[in-house]
Amino acid sequence: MPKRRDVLKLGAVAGGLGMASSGALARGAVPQSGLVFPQGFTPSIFERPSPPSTPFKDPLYRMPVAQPVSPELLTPSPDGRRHQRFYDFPPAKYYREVIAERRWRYHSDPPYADGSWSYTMNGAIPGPTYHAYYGEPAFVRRVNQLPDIGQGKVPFALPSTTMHMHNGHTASESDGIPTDFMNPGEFWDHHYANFPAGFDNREIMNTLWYHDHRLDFTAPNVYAGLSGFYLLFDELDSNNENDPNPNAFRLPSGEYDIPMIFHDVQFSEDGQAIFDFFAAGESPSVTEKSPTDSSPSTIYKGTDNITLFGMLGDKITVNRIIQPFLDVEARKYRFRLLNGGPSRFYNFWLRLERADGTVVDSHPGLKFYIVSNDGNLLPEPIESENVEVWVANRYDVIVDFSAFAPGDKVYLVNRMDMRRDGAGPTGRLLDEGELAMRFDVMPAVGEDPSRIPDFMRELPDINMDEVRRERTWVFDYDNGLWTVNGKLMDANRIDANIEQGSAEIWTIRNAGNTWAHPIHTHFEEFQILEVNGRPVKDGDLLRARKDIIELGPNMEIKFFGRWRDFFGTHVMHCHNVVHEDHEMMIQWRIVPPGQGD
Amino acid sequence: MSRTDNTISEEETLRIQSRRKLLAGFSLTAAASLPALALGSMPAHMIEQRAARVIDRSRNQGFPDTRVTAHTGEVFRFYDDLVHERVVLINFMSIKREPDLPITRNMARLVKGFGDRIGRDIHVFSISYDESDTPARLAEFAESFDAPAGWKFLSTTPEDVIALGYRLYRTEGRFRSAMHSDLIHFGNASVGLWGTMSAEISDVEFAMQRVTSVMPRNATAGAQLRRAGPRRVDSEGPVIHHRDCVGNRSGES
Repeated sequence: MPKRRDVLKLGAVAGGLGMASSGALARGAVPQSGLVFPQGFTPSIFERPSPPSTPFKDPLYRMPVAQPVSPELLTPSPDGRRHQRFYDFPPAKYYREVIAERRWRYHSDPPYADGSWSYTMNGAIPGPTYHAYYGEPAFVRRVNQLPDIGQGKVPFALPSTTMHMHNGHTASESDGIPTDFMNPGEFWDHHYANFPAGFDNREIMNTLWYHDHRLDFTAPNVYAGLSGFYLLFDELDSNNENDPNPNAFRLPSGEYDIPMIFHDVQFSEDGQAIFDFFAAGESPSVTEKSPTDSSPSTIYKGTDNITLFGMLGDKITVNRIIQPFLDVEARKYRFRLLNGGPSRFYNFWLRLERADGTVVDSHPGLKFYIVSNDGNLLPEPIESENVEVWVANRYDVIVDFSAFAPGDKVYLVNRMDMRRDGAGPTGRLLDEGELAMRFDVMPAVGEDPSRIPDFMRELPDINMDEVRRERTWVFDYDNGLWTVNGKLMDANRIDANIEQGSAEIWTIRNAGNTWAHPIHTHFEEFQILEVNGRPVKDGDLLRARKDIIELGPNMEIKFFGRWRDFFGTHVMHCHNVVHEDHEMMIQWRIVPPGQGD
Repeated sequence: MSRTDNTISEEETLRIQSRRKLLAGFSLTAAASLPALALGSMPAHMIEQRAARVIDRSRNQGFPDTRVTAHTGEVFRFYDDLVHERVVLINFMSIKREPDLPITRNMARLVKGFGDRIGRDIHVFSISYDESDTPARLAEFAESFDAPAGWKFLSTTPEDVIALGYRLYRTEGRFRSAMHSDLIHFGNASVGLWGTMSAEISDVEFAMQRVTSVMPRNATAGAQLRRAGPRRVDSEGPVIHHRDCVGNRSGES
């Protein structure tokens, strides 16, 4: 087994290209839902960049911890008959979350200072951070108070939402599947049982998030604001760095445990978020037809800049603040890094700027101790100079600022070079990269009782005897739309009936040779067996419980998964949410033994 | 009236259409390759300029405002006359391919589901991409589906069909080969919300709900909160969702 001091390099590639950007004529904004837009147009961030903002001017937003309410305040009353196993897991805490349109200040410079209209949760974005504990089931009533169609100030989003608990071991009716949406004036009750899958403590998860999953409109709705954290604690990852329990991990906690969600956003001249695939760009080109071809469709040929592939914003926001700063003490911190999308991937590195202005890229303190993959604590921490975060990936990392002196500034640098069209990385590593945020090192206040444990959670056993069948899912592209096994998402079609209590092996294949897909399947974590036919070795960051597959071009991944404890319909989809909305999704269902396909 | 991009496009369209009429009289073989003939008379750079003009991204939500002929014989501007300020359903079809790709049959189920809302709240446009689908043939086709007045079967020049398709995904020079990858587009042009769904519709009520999701609900302000779901575990309902009382607003528990 590798020691945590072994440095793992994640796909670092030599060389680099700067971000291309061109000034061009500004055009009037066209409201777009992102659902119907043509190919062949240059992404508008290259044509109409967001207004400038002073970097590192505003502090990082620290989301409040969600506060429970008395169940008597919920009218009508919670109804256990609407939830599977409600009485096995009676809620210990009740919450009420109101989704409404409000202004949110992404930055204090004009034009941002007046606030950008957003879909907020309890008045803010990201939404409140839930602190949940294993053994303490929670109940969340979500209320849709968004304005009716045509009445709202966010032109691109749909005021109809379903909130998915990403990687929760949650029954279908509380999972927030795409079809379980609520319209303005409606509410939906979510029951989170907060027990590990199969009652196996090795299945305990820690960093979860919630986000909109509305059928057809996930990309614009998440972009408009609908995302937040749901943290689960247990007796080992106990939210207490002073925990007297000798087995507790004592990871940095409280003020020193900071969830960070990254969204890249584009803004209009008046500081409003825009979701806009239209911009002055290259015109579609035309090719001559063959004289024998009577099909009218070969006349036009798209350009290279196909916008259907993704939505890239040009302002990187952390907890919905553009390029924030954070005062940190010279001690250890746990940062929960989450890429909230819609389409940009990140490759984060650290860079040091000394008080005298010297910039240092190589320093022993400039590294991450990666403690989780997709929010699940690893068998052992992995030490790395960088961490690659695809959409919906969650990596908990520990950064030890005690290596730095007060007055030092440490930057979080994104060096991922994305294709202009948003469909995936170019494969190049940017030299300079973009500075996502800055940590300003202050003297430590008192001792640092937190630890980086040598060992954390063992992986559950993989038992091939449990495997009932194998399935293959091929992710591809067909004439403008994204397909799975050649098909578009059809909400009325169940693509797999899986027997409860069984295990299956799924092969996930990318039939494309240029685009990349973060593939997410709901409900239970899986373990990757093979990447392109090669087994995943101990000590690899992929040797983990995961719910996202980083499916690069031409890649094929095989995983082992189990489906336990509940019945019902869930989905698997590409988490580049533009791809998802454009039909790259399947539905699967957990059925009683003997009824599977 | 000054010559705008639109009027230039229309003049071109009229010229092309009159040439097609002339050519159509000559032979059946000519009819098979009409687009080639029609476009063969235009230099490539002109077609390119035209494509850029027809898809004007700065207005009409990028929809080409092309001249289209309905199966009724009426001539419209696609965006200004038919889409602007409306909730619409749009699909592409051809009479010839309907047996293999029954898009119109599925659209007809959706249209039937909406009943008298079609033509009043929702307008439906089926655009033929087959140049042999003349307004007369489309009229016959429409009748076979009992198409109400709010459902129009449109034809236009091949290049304008492509421009429309370009705006609505049909872009890469090949038609989708199978039903499961064809689409019905729905949208509310007055607010700019657009969606798509697979043209394979197995649950009409749910498909209708997707369409009405882009329409104002005109909920009464201050009305009591309504439970959207989940419905009771022991209640009957579709496996694909847990909404309570789909399709109506009387779900208050």
